[in-house]
Amino acid sequence: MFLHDLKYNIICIIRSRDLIFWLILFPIALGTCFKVAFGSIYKNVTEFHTVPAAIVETEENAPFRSFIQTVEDSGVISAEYTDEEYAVELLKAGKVSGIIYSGEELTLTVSGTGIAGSTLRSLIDNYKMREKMITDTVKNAPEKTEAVIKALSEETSACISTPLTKGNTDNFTPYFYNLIAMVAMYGCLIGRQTAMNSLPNYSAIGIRRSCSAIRSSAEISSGLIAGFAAEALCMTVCVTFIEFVLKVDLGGDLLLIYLTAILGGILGVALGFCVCSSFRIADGILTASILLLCFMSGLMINNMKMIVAEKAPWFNMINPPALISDSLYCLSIYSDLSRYAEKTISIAVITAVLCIIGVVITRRRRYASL
Amino acid sequence: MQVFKTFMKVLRRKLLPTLVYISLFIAISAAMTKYAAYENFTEVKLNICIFDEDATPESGQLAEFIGENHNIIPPVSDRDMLIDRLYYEDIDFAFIIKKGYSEKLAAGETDGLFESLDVHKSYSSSLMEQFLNEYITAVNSYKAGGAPLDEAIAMAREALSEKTEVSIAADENDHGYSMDFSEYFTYMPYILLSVMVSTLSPVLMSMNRKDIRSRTNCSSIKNTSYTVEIFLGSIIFVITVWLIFFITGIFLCGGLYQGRAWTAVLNSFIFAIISAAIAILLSLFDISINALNLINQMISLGMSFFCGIFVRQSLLGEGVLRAARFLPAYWYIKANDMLCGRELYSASQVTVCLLIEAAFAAAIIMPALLIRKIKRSGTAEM
Repeated sequence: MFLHDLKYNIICIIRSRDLIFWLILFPIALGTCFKVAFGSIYKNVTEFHTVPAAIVETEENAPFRSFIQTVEDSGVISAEYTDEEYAVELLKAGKVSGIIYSGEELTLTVSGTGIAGSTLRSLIDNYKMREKMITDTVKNAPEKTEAVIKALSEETSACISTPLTKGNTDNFTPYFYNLIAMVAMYGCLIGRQTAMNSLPNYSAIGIRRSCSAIRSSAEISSGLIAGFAAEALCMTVCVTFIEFVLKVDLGGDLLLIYLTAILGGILGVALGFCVCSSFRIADGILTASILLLCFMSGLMINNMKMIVAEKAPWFNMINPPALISDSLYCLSIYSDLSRYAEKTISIAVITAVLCIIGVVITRRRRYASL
Repeated sequence: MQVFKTFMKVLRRKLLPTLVYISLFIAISAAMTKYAAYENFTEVKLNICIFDEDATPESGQLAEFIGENHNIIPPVSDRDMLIDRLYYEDIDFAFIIKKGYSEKLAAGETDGLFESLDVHKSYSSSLMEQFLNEYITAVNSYKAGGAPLDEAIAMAREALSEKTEVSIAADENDHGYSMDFSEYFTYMPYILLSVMVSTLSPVLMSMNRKDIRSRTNCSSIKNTSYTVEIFLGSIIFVITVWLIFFITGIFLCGGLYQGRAWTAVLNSFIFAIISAAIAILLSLFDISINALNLINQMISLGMSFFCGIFVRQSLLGEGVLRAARFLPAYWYIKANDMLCGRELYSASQVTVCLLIEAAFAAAIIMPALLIRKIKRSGTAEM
């Protein structure tokens, strides 16, 4: 009887068009949009690239030309010498980050406040500092001029760089972690269906089932297992699509990524089952609540996790989508798996607690009339 | 005006999504849209985390100097937390002033005095590494000029404190449509599409339901007056929604629109018509409300991501932009970017964009009318 019930529960879920949309089609569409939008932002915006600048020479300034050549060789800027009219066009079209006017006085024109403008300003400041230093030395202690010029022209490597992680540092990847977490949370819809179908005061199917000969425990467990299996399938499709079709580097061990996603999906089903066994919740309210939880974990705003960590760190520890996305993040960033294990155990414990609460609420209910 | 009254009655019952979308959009826009007329250049202030292992007056002076231009974040003792904060760019640059810094500086050694803790090789870290190198070079050069260490540090700080005058390119804000304010119009297509499809389509679908259509067909109402009244109802809804955005824009702008902002207003009106045309076209298919919501999400989110509403067109790939040319939102955003100065402005190109949008509206309405006619003749035959 259990297997029979399990089979029909699975068929019911597969035939539910709404669930297929929210659990498979919507994530595919949203994932594609994310890929299109965020695919190259990290490389274009966050990672350092040579800063393009237009240089307009109002007067001959050989030392500055030589300084720019040195800076160009080091890969900090790429300079284009041109006339003012064309330089302004380049600036407006976003082809250069600023225009350096080189003459008696060095000035900079930029299109707005930004880090590229600050980099160009810093370069001009450095040139001016060197120029002033040499002029002052020539004036005050000419015998030291040679030593000062030597010190100024020495190549300095004051800073040694130590990378803190070997993982995927593209900080737009969490959008995909949160997308996976969102699909896991949409498992709530399956959990809701399981709860509705087993409670006679919620649905006609519930009434029929409560009159049937099947034991309540077998009925609920078959519903939950079918939900877990369907959700695991959806999570597998989602991760496979992101990793292999969109070719997003999720980082970390792929098997563990699948495991985390499936565990997350099971948590989603358990959450829906527990909440909907306790309260009669409309689809819209459930979906809105899921989106709110996903918002808090960073589905819409990337650094939301840090904001929550600062204001209410406890919430990140109990918010299911935050736990799921954080597990995936830990897999990618940390070589040590202890924090990942901590998150995964939290997911498993919360799932178990939710299932137990749901079962306790739904079992042995008595109705005066239906 | 029986049909018109019924249209309005059905519309009132389906207004909830419109109210939710509009109020959320206005609330977010009010919080985020700035209408500052002109901005002076301000140096970017980075969040810097310094781990001072040397703990000498010299290292303290460096930290203090950095603090004059940037925000100093207290050292984060938990390594995982430091990685998280660097990853999410809550901290822009973290570095260690290594033990023996002051001694090495006094001895004229310049290499390996600091250790930067990197997650991204970003512009911020490049800027700060450049600054640290320049600071050390300046101190070393003053020392080479005969100054003792204390004096060399003070002179280096003074020399590095002199800043070049930076100006913002003229004409950026004097055309009456600033980049900050343009954000309001940038996000408008997403809301217009969502509102039209989630409200206008269900209303038209209710009016076009087969049994209701059949009942109307055998009533005394003429087909022409039926169409005109439905059209009137739709137009009133579209214009009302657009007027709400228009008036809210006046408040956010801090006064009546000026200069190029009027062209942006016209641009938004044409897009409102495109959105309504899409909603009318969708209402002609026999689909459930759930399927309509699905299509609504696909169209609005898809266009927003592909055409540059959520992410600037300049950041999207060439291939994506080539494909996006076949969508009306691409031309809307292109015109908007030119108007606010994000792209090189050309009046003729803006006009071309507006005309292409109008052509899109016509291209969507034509098949909608054709399908409607075919369906009506089908119903009449029944």
